[in-house]
Amino acid sequence: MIFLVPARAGSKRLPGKNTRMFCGLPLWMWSIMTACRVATDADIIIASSDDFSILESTWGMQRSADLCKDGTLTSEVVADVWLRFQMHDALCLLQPTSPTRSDSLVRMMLAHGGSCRSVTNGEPNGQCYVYRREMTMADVETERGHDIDTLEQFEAAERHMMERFK
Amino acid sequence: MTNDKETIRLLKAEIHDLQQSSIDHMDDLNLRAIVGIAVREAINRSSTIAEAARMLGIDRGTLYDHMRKLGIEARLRCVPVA
Repeated sequence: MIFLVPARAGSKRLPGKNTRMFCGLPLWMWSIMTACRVATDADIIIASSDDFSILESTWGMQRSADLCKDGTLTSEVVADVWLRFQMHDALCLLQPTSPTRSDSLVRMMLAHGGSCRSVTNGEPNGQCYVYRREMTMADVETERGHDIDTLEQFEAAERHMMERFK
Repeated sequence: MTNDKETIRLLKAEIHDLQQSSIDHMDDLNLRAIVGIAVREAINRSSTIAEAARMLGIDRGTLYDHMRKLGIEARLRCVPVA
């Protein structure tokens, strides 16, 4: 299993969003920590990025400039990583913008056995995607979590995290 | 007064306990403990402060700051550097 945290440097609404400190650690690091808690020794954990501070970390993997544009689809980044690690038959995508997701949600998604994505009321909520070789993507209904795109959402998620674990 | 060897043994036991906690009882922990586990695990798995900082995606200054707040600065000095 590949655990992928896509964390490019550019962010229009909230510049530096992925590397912004969230409850004491960079936002992207919270998804890495989730991966570390649920991964086995055979799994690999990657932060695909063009940000120097992320690339300098233990988890950083250089993403080509073509895949760092505003219009780049997440599926293109997933395909790029999967091509580089073809020996793995599954990939778990953990977006840095959902730092409050629970470990149990990711474990449940992995236990599903097929390709699946977390949804709330039928709409993808961005918390977790599991890609396997088969193309059919099932929906796994979960509670809506925080999806950070603006400063207000960032601060709301941080307040929620502090409240949850105070 | 404990010697360095005993201090290392106690530190390893504490880290082991924290690691078990991080796996099974995450929801029972507070935010400080979660960050503390991450910092301790990074230090435990690294041979230098710079390496631990890279594991956490932060600079050494921020890591030292966390260590000071978590009260693990003095203990680290007892851990032999590979």
